[in-house]
Amino acid sequence: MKSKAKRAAVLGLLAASAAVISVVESMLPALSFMPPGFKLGLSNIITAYCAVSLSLPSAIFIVFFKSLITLLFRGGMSAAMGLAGGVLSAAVMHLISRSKRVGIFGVSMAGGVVHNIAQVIVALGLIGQAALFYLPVLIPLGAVCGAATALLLRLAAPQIDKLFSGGKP
Amino acid sequence: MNKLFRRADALILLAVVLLTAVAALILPRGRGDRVIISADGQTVASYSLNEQAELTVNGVNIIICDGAAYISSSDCATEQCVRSGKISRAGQSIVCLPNRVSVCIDGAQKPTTDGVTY
Repeated sequence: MKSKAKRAAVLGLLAASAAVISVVESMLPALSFMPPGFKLGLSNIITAYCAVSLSLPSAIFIVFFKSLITLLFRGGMSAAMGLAGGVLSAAVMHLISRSKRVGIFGVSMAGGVVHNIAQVIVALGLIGQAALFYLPVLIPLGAVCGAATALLLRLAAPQIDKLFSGGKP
Repeated sequence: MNKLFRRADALILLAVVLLTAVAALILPRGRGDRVIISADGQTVASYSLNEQAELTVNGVNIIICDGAAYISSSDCATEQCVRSGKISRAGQSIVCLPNRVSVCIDGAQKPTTDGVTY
């Protein structure tokens, strides 16, 4: 039986981990052919875990918290794009994972692609037409990063499960 | 938690590939003709790549010279845009997100190569 306090505590731990991963990965050197602010999206392992195994509100909480930290570390632009991408991606991942016919791979790939498309849409409003030119790069990259996230999630999920149920990770 | 691979995952992969193809085909590629500069979502200037021009938009200095366009300086925090180098082919763009400025090349010709790696 999970106590509410325990769930809150573990969720807080997950949110903090996601925020740290997000900040650290944004410090990696930027690649010249990528749009500025391109990140690997490793922190989405946690968002995906919540969207799939817990509840959509918990995943959105993770996204909001990450965005808040991003706001402090990288500025409003990155935070806004991360928020848009994260919320939409969490919603899509949650919905897709409901179907038994989709595995983690598909869920995470879809999440990655949707995340990037949402960010391009936000960028469209800010810089206009030029944002669209990033789509042919960002869509497959979103899928690739989503696939990588899926593999990592497969390894991490049992450990996170144990945090909730009280076993030794 | 769902299993890693299921049948529908292949469909999702296929959808992604198709989406990428559509996105890549719709956008113009190849040797560029015009430089289109936008700020805050609106197009503010349009030049031929053959012109020589220099302008400043939202604190970003843009130079068009010798068939290429680039950002020479900017008042933004990270100056990613300045380090992005020169662009000259259709579909390429340099963007300064903090200042909401974009410089992109529009063109109509078919591409020869998209890029070269050594």
